Amino acid sequence: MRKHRATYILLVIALLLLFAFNIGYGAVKIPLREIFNILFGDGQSSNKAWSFIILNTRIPQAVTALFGGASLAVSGLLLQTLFRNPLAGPSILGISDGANLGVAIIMLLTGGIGSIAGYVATVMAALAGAFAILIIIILFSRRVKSNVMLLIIGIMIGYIASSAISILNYHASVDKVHQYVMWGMGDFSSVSIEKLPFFSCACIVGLILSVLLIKPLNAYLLGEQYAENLGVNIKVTRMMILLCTGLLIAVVTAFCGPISFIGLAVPHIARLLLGTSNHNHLVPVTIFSGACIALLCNLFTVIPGTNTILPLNAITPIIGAPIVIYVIVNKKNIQYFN
Amino acid sequence: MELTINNLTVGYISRGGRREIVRENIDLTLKSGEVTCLLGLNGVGKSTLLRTVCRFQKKLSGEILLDGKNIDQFSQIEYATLIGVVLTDRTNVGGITVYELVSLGRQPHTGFFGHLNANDRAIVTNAISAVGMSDKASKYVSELSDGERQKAMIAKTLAQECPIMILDEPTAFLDATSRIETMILLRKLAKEQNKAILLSTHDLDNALKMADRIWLMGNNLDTVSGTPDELIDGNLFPAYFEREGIIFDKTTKSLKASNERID
Repeated sequence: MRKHRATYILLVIALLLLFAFNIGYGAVKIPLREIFNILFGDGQSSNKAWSFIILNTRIPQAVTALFGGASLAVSGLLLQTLFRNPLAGPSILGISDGANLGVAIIMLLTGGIGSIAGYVATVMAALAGAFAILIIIILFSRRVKSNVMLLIIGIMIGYIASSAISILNYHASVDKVHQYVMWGMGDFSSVSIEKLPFFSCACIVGLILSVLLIKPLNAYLLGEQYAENLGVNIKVTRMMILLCTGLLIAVVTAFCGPISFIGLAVPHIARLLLGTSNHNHLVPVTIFSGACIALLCNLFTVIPGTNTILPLNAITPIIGAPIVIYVIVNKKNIQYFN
Repeated sequence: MELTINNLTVGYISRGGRREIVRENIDLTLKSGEVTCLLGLNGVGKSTLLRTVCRFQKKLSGEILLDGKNIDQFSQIEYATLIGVVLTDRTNVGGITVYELVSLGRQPHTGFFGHLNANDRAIVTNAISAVGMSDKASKYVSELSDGERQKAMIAKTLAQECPIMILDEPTAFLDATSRIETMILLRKLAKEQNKAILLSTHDLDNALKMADRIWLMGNNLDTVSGTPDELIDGNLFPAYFEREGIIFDKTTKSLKASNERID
């Protein structure tokens, strides 16, 4: 703990600053004094629209980014450890494609996600889709020993899901297709204040589960057989890891769309920060880093000086891709898997 | 602690439920304080036997007893404190230190979050020093040579505090010096800590020189056990190892080409 105290302090400060920036900065310029007034004063501002923006838009969006980023990052870490592969992540193994397909079925075939019932159906469909792909991956992982082969299978299954989505898109009406495309761009603003408690609770459950898995995750570093010899119940642990990642990926994807790169890149950032693969620190630091990176990406969706909004998935690869390339090219970092 | 194998059949159950027997009628005893080497050509079922004893796969019939108690009766955690394994594969754990790697051996003994108390830490430190790696304790595993990695894995097994250690071809990818070094280390551990050590190997020379006991496996042959000298005097090696053009030389205790020179 002592060795990594500086990292934790740095992350908490970064998290608080980024959260504050996310509330203070947006497409609409609101004076700082007014923001303080709205948050810590009587909750009222001279401008009704400003209080609405702060309380009903920016705060939910910042909280969503915080939990969404943390969830995707930790699920990426769990998958990387489980498959012992640095390139595993929500999107690579086709899991988020499964969630996409579930959402596409609800959005494109039924009325969409306007109502609360529609939302619940969307979340359930995303869960079902993500778990369906997960189960297929688990079944293959028993027969296919090579992780590279398993990744290729994951990518192929992703393609199959995508082709099903294409068919659904082709036959859906224009406004439904538009709605689906917009959802696919990724967005932390789509969780309203009413839906925020459900979203946050689901994420917190998954995050707590990931912390409870720290000991078997460390045993998994040695590989499945060594883990078994250390007393880890392989079947239960594998199920718990996949359940945890499935829940986190499905919930975030259902609400915020398929957000790329955070799940893949953040665990590497955390390893670089800590200099260790030991999950005792890697799990919490990945959670904090994921929240920070998501808040940072969310800030960049507003182009400075304008009120133009960029889609989230245009931002995350710009931050994520260079990190992944750096990790692959730099020999010192690849050692975490060597 | 004594491991006894009675009339054991090892193999696989195929998808149709058919039993694919790899080897049967195995009767062996593994004793504390001894290094036992399991010898045999590729494909005779050495790994299958070791995997069965480690409970990585189910036995087809017969019994395996630990001090008279059937191994199926132990819980997984109990078993993890009785038998520690080292596998052939080069361990790619990378970004953890030797100390952290050896600490993983404490997992069957620690609580839910795997927190190490003072006693655990002392055991880990002793395990690292027993394999002679105290100066490398804070190094990353990725910085180690292959031989050092295997020594670190052996230290992990020591930290596990198992009376029995099973190693599946631990020296397969090591250079000549590291092979002998590993064998010397295992002998030392067997004598000093009274461990029962079983390893499979293709390194006939070192096995015959350093093992206390040899288990021989061969296709269509009985699985036999004895000291190296007993087996050599009993003229058992030719049947298990010789092929056309390759003979076992009793004086040098090694295999060689039957023609003196191949020019």
